[in-house]
Amino acid sequence: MSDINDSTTDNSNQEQSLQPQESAPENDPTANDNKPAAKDPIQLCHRKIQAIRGQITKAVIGQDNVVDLALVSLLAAGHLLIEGVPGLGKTLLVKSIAKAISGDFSRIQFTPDLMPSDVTGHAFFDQKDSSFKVRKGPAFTNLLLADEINRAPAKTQASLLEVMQEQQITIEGTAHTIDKPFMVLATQNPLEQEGTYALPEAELDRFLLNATIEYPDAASEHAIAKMITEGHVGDSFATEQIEAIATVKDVLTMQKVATTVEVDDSLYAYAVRLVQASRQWPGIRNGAGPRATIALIRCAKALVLLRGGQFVTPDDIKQIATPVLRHRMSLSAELEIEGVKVTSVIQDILEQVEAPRG
Amino acid sequence: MDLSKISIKLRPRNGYAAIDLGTRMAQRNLKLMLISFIIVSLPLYLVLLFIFPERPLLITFFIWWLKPLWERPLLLILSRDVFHQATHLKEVLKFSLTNNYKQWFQSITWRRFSPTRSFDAPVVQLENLSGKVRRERLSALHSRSPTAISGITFVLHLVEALMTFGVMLFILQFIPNDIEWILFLEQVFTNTGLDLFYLILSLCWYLAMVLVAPFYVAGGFSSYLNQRSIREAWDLELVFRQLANKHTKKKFDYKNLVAALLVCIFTFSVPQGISSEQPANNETTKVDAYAKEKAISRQAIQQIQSGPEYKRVEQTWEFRKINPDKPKEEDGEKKNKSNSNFDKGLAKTLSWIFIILLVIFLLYKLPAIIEYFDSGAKAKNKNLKDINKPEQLFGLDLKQENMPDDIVQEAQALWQAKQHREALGLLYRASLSKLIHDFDCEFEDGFTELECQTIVTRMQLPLKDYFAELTSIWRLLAYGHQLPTSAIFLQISSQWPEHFEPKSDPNAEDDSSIKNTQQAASQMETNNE
Repeated sequence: MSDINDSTTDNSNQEQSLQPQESAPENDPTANDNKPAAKDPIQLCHRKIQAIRGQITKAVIGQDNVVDLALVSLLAAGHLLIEGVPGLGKTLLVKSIAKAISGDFSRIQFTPDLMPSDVTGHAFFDQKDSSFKVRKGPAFTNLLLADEINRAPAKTQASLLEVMQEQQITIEGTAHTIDKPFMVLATQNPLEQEGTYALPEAELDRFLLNATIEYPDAASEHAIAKMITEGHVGDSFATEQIEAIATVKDVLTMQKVATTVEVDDSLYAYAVRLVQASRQWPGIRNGAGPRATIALIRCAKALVLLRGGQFVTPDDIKQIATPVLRHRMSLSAELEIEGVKVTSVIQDILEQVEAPRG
Repeated sequence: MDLSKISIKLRPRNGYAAIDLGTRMAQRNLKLMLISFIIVSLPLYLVLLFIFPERPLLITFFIWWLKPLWERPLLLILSRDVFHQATHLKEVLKFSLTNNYKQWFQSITWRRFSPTRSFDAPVVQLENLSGKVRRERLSALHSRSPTAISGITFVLHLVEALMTFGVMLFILQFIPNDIEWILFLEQVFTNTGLDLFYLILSLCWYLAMVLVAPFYVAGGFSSYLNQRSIREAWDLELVFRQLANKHTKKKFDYKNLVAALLVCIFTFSVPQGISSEQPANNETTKVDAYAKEKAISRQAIQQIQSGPEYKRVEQTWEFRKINPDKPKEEDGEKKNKSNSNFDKGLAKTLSWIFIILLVIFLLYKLPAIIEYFDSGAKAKNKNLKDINKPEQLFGLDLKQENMPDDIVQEAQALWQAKQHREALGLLYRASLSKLIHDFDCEFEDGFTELECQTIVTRMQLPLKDYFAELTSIWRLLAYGHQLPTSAIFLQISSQWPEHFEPKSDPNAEDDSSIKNTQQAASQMETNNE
């Protein structure tokens, strides 16, 4: 199941990048109206984000969809939950984004014995100064890769809640703000469930998007193998060739510009209808909450910025709906036994909930 | 009617106990009753279905209306079973062809909806009563209010309805959603989308009717027997008869006993001398008397046998399987065997008739089957498409009759009134309505403007470029809040009829109309400024 639905062709499950809509009619007399002057902040941001994307895709090959979702998440100042088997370039993705935006990067491998203080940091008594000092944990960064987050117990997972929502970390009663932008990219392995702790709904809801990372196609795998084995030692991809073409300030600016993208009232109503349908749909145990409605609009705006559009359309919301809703909904036992997937339920909702007409 | 031969236990019962007895009676004869009902009703059902295939529900309703006639053979079976008499299908058929029409008109008209129909039926069928006598008889039998039989009439109607829809749902549940068998069956068996549904409903109704009828008839008949048993004290009569028999038997035993005693006394009290001579004389006298009596009897028998009653010759014929190896059987066994053979033969014949009819039907429908596999039913089934055409989509009213007569004029008037969104919205809505109703575009509720446009493009409609342009202008206004210029609106609106309305006269648009359009455009520009 694709994260993004190609609504311009049909509702089939094609994997498609969140790139500018190719289906815009060629003979569209108003097509140029959607391309503002060169100094338009949206257009400038679009160029910048496309440049960042170009750098990332130098290293992360054949995962355009996940790259786009990561950028949407970054532009919408949210967090991304990635599901996929190991070895598909998740760490590389985070490293590449961090390098392209000149940001910091940390990686935590979640294990059953990981303590909350290993994530956030802790205070210790410095005998030289006879005072308590704070040793900041890996969460004090711009991009945090929480690898196999479901391997740590709930207490450790919960230590991320504050930093994800409030963008601050409290150590020994003192709140420490973290540098912006801050984004958590957490990964889960969908195959190995033994010895794991399922993420609680409250924490899942903190993730703006849920992406699935799939195996690359043959051509991409061919390119990866060639790139890594020619002139490199070892089997990991070096990120030296990625240029830092933006700064964290640029990212913050782009996040602000994303909020200015125009959204018609009918689209707010559409987002609400979709989310409410997810609660009332037959066979759904838990539907999405109000955070999902907000997330739909935020992500649609970021998507428009990524594409270089001027305003959000129903197609943008439909395309982003699956990654926004997927981790926020859970199916009843009957549907799970029947082998129904959440994505197919979302697909049904998208097909049957009335799309707006202005 | 010989009550001593009755097979049910006679005692006064309440109404529901009597119906319970009827259920047991129906269970005992269920197979025969079901077959009998089918044999008498199915031919008419099939013939009507063949003649009027487009009216399956009406046909089943007609068969349902005539149900009192189909129930009569069932009552015959039950009435004979009560006195230990077996009924064969041959007799059922014979009865249906000859004696099934007593007071038929009344039965299917004003008596049809009587809540005590099955209770009243034996009065007509078994007692042969009609007119005033029947009314008096029924009023006497109804004196003890037959609420139970009215209740069971109501309950069995419900059961019939529930069974109909239950079987229907059961069948539908086993058809996978995405299977195209429905379309195939619709193509082969019917020509419209809904007929197959009605055909299945009709068959389910008939099936429910067949299954419920034996219990309904038996319930009414057992209640009737119960009422008569109470009113005419059949149970007491039966007891008295049994007592009388017992008494008669006792008398006989007493006589024998007296005779035996007399013989003994006589034998032991007579002197030996007399007794040695007397037996010879007595025996001679007895033999003579016996021979004389025998001769008289023979003469009487011969006299009777020579009478006209024994001279009548009757010729009958029947189908019989000849098996020379088997020894000849007794008459009773022969009769049973003959009936059994007849039943088997009938079943076989009916099966063959069904198979032959099925083959003929399939051959008749062969072109339709080939057509389905050649070109696909879905695309060709225009009627089905008409059914699926929505009247409302995306929250918009897309009924053609609700659109203004002159859409372009209305839209332009709205534009001039500075209701730009409404003007462009009307044009777009009218386009969708036309695409759905005139161009058979299948849109879903969840489709966005671009998805609708993609469908139009895929269908390679001549208006695809125009619709793409209109969609683009509409999206800019609706979501980007960017107003197109009046010139663009005028252009797109004036082109609308070319694409969505058939041209009546290609030369109709003369120079003056072009001038008018140009003037209108300049006027709109001025207004907007």
